[in-house]
Amino acid sequence: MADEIVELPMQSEPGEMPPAARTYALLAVGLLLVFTLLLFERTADVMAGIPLLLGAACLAMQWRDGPPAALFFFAWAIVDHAAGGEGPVGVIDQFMANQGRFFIRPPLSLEDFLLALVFVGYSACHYRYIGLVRYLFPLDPRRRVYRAVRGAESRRYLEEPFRRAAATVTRPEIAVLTLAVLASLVAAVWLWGALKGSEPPYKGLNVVWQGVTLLWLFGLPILFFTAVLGYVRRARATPQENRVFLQDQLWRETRREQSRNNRWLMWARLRAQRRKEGR
Amino acid sequence: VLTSRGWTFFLLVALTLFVGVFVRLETLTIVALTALLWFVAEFILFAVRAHSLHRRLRVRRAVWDDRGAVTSLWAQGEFHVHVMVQPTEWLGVPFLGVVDHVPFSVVLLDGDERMQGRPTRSAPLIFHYRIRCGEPGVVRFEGVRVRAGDLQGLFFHETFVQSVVEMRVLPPLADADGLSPTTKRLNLLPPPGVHRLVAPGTGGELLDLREYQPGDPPRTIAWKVSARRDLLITKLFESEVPIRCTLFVDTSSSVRVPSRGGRALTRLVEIAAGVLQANAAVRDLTGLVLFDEHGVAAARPERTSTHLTRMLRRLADAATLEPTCSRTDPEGLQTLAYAFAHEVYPELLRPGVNDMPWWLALFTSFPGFTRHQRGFFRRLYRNRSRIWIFCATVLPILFLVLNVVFFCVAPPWWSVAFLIASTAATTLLYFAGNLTFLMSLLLGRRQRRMAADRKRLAAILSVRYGLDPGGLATLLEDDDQFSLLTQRFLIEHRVPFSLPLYDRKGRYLFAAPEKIDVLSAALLQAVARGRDNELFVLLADLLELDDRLDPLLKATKLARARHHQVVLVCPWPPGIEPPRGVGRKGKQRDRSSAPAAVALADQVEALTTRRFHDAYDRVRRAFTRLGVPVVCAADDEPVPLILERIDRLRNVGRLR
Repeated sequence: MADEIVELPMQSEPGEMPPAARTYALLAVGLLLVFTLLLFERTADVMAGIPLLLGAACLAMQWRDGPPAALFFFAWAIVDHAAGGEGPVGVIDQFMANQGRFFIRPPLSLEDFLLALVFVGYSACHYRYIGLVRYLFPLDPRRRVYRAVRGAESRRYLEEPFRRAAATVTRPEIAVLTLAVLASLVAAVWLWGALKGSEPPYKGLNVVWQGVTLLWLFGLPILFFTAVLGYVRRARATPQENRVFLQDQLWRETRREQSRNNRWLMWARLRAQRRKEGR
Repeated sequence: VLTSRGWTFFLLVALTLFVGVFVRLETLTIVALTALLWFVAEFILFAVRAHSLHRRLRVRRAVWDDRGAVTSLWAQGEFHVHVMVQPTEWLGVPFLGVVDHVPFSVVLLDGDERMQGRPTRSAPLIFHYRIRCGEPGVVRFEGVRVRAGDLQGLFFHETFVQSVVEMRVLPPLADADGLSPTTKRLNLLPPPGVHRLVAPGTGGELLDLREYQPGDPPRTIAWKVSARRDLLITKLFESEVPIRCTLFVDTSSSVRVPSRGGRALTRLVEIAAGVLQANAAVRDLTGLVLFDEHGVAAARPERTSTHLTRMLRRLADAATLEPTCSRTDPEGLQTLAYAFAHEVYPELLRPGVNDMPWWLALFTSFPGFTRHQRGFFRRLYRNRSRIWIFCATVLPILFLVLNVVFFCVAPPWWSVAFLIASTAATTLLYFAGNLTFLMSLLLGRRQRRMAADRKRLAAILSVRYGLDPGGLATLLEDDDQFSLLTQRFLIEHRVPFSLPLYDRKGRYLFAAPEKIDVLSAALLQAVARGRDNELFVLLADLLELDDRLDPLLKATKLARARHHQVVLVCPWPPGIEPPRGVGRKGKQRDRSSAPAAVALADQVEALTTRRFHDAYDRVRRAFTRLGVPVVCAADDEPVPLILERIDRLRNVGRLR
């Protein structure tokens, strides 16, 4: 029974890549190339090629974690370059000894803005590509395959219901994405400029001030937003949800007393039944 | 809700921003800040659009056959289901993956029961699929499951949009000859009264002659005969009333229990539907009495098409009944019901609405008292808190008190010996108790999950069935009530489930002996209300109750004494060889030629078959003695064959 193979209804043929996915893959590769060129321009180091290699490998193997990996090695290349290109030991030594004061800090330039633009664009394209060829929605852990079905077939069976259909890709998607990334870049530049220009309350605490301000700037609106959403959800709850909620509150407050009463009632009922059955 | 890829991206970006700000590398800062702002903007947009999605989407559904939209379905019929999902507000929705919850009792033939896209008010998501209905009963469409996400798959939200539609699946339309309803029945209809009863009436056919009695209408005087005999003779005519047939259909627990080959109730409903339609075709009046162990639902004989439709609906409703038993262990049912509730009622299981604190599951367990024995370790787990409290508080106090008492009353060397012994015993017990508690925490993960699931499910059941506010605590402690309500929940949602047939002492849980009294009372009532010689067809499972038939035999005897005809149709358990001479499988297997070392399963099957054959023989003997034929509705017994037997009985009655 365990090795029995059933016909699995599938919508697509194995190995088939929809044109929309190809478009996103090409866009991601193109952006990665630009990203690498810009990074090379910034660091002039062989480390600049690693994000390209990793990103391309993730695209080819359809791994989802290309952008975080690329970001990690990008950050590493920047830090390493700032520390003089002496590798991990040099970075740690310099940071520990002088609290990072001897890092080379080039001023912000157009390449930096382009790097930000390209990285976010590449991340979005990579994730959208993965959504089209692997899965967009999280997989259902209850879905199981028969033992006989293995490898690509098994992966296809598990992922296909959660994959984005190629037919749902529309032309304005990429334009909207470009606008969103541009808007994010403009907001980031403005925000960072405002932060750099602001005076910290205590001298010598520039970095801490900027970090804490950023934390508040992101944390407070998200907290407020979550609270508003929670309130609206509670206000729009159905009568049944409200009844379950109220019952839950009552149970939490009085569960010991209720439990004791019901336990003894159950004991009495079971004893009466046993007597009735002559045991 | 962030997906795993959302979390990974967010954490890496936040870390990069942290490094960029604190090492004062603006390249890193600006890249990470841009990515973070884009991420937060996407999150806010998604959260606003996905918020209260289950209330902002409308689902419309239509079921079509070849001619158009229908409100009732037919067994074994094929239908098209059209589903439309549309947002109701201007705010818009995120990218959606919509999956229709196809009912359990239908077969999905082709088409898409799922759809993706971003619906708007002017361009909703529309999809179609084709289904085939199974047995008669009710089909319940719950609604659609909605998965919402952004285009990158960084955020995800899942909910269920309720749109409950229940449709009856009526028994297939076919007359006694198996003809479909599209034949021109009206032109072929015989006039009322083709089944003449041999009793004086106002018909056209001469029945007999007798001497004139004062009060006889003058037009019935046979003048020629009177002249020949020189005595006034009156003509007696046959009565031209149609046959009145009443079907008594057993819907008790014993026929609801599923078996390998299907349910006996489905078979009875099919037979009853066939008889109803065949009788309607010849314009006989047919009544229907549905009975179980609790009571009856009766409809008096009529012949109109409205009556036929009403009866078919009643039969379809009866076919959906499921067996229930309060003594069933609820654990197996709970898993099924919770999984279903998790899919269909996710909003009622949200942690903010219906929660079970994790720490509470460590110390509490329910129920405290139960009739179901679940083994030594389960009992130990259930009492772990008591054991721990005993070891932590009662044991040291007991140790102290006993030693003080012993030192006061016993000689010193005895006291010292007792002190050593009690110290060792107390230490041992103390560590054993604590170890038990710790082990229960380590190994009781499944039990804790089951307890949390039970609490959440009990909260839903309590509210759904009006037991709140105290119902939750009651259901946690009362296994019987929880089991019954869980079964009711599953039955109402048409979720198939199975129950154990026997309790742990080997007693059959679904015999339903009370139905004999109910059926007897219903038969007596029908006899009392009977206008003329009627035909009573008892479609009842009496095989398990052959030793309790006395009330029914008495009622049958009375019916026979009033010149009514009675037929007993016994549903035969599917998969078991029918008795000799019944159906095509009538030939008994030659058991003498079976090998000596037959498998255990074969032996059990042989014993079961023999038990059913013996029971059937006893029932048949008891009823045949009263002149009541017993028909075995075996697995392959066609409805026309049963109708033919009933028809033959009519003829026998006519000749008598």
